[in-house]
Amino acid sequence: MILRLLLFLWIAAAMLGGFLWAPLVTALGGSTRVLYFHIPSAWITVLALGWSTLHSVQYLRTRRMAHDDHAAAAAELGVLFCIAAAVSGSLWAKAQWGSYWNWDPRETTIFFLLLIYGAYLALRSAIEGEEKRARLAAVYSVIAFVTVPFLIFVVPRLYATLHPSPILPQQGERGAMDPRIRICFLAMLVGFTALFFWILSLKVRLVRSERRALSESAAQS
Amino acid sequence: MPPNGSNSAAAVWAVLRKECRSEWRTRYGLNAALLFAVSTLTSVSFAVGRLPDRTDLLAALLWVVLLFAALASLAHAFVREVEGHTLTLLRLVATPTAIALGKLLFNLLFLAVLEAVTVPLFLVLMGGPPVHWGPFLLILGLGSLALATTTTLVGAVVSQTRGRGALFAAVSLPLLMVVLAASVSGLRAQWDGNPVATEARLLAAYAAVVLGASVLLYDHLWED
Amino acid sequence: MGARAPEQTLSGARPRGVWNVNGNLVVLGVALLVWGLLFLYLLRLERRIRDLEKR
Repeated sequence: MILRLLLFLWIAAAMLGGFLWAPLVTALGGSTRVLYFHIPSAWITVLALGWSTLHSVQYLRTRRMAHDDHAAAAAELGVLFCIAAAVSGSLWAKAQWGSYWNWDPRETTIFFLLLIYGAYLALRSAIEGEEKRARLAAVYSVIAFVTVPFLIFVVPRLYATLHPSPILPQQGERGAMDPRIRICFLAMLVGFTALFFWILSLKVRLVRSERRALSESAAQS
Repeated sequence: MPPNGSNSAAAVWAVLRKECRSEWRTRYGLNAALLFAVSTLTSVSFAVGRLPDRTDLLAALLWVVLLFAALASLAHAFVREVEGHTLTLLRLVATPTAIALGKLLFNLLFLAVLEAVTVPLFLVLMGGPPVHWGPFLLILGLGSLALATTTTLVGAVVSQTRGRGALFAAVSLPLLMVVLAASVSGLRAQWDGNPVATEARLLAAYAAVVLGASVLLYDHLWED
Repeated sequence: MGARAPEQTLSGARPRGVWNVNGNLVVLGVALLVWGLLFLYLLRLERRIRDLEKR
């Protein structure tokens, strides 16, 4: 319980610090504060994807259902954080460059990740049978993972050559960060990560309990 | 799951011949795909007219037509198997990998036939600057290879689910974005007179990666 | 950081009231509120799961 409260206070403190204590980035102006939510969300999206694929591979190797639980739960959470990152990024883009969506490399990456997660979850929902679902979903997860490097690194560059944008967007001032901003930002990053793993563990435990309840009632009948 | 059936090139060849024969018997899949491609093409041509100098649009439209036709028909190879319940029989003869490679080759052949009809028709209807045949065929070929490797694998996965056509398209599309982007960029470069080396390398790398992953994954696909 | 006085209107009058509070503080307040609600929801979820596990 102490840990939970600590997490609550940690994130709350990071937010307070970010809004009231840390300064604004000059180039970004008033929209600076989005970075406390947007970048951690994007980080968690990537973390969730990696976690999900890792457990998919582990499932294919060991066939233990626990791995599939983790893969599915991480993917669902990943979608949520992906949407959060995309929406917050879009609002930021509107504030900075005047348009909600411009297909710049980062936006493109987030969008593709969302599509992949969505496809994964759609696939899962179309399969009956626990073992079959776990196996097929895991196969898809691995394929998706091998194409992700192409999507993230190569495709945005191709798009940029196809459509050179007159506004060259700066990718956010990550380099020169005022130490106060950096502290709050890192604190949010850590807090988000802890939050992700907490929610993940809850989801996995829930699935496990439901499965146990289901098998117990099946055994009784 | 102990491997049963042969894993050799002969098995792959046998699967390929079987696919060709069953497809040729009804020609259902091929007819549907050709009809679909030609309909899409005519709609586009009707709506847009000739595009003598818009190389970006030309490249994009060609690939969109091909992609749609492919998505509408390539899942068919596996679905037919599942619906005909012939998969178990097939697995007595060949390993999952051999089956999948045979089907991949079939899909490639299928795409080749589809493109042999669609591409000339496209060029005739849409106009466009003269084609540099070397780079053009290279990009078309590599793009089709990348398309086939991905859709064969996804088709194998989706054929075992409740969903079919729409799910297949939805699941393939995120993966195919890479192919689409590189192929469109390559075709456009070729029309503009620029080198296509980057795109060609990208498509080749992508196809190799997916093929490599597929070979490792196919054994996990069918287990009962 | 901190509140910046909003621009004066042409007539020089400045509307008072809660809507005048710095936008920053509003966003902060909403964020904290959302976080608090989410946290409480997660706590309740955890309690429910713990009960499920005990049974």
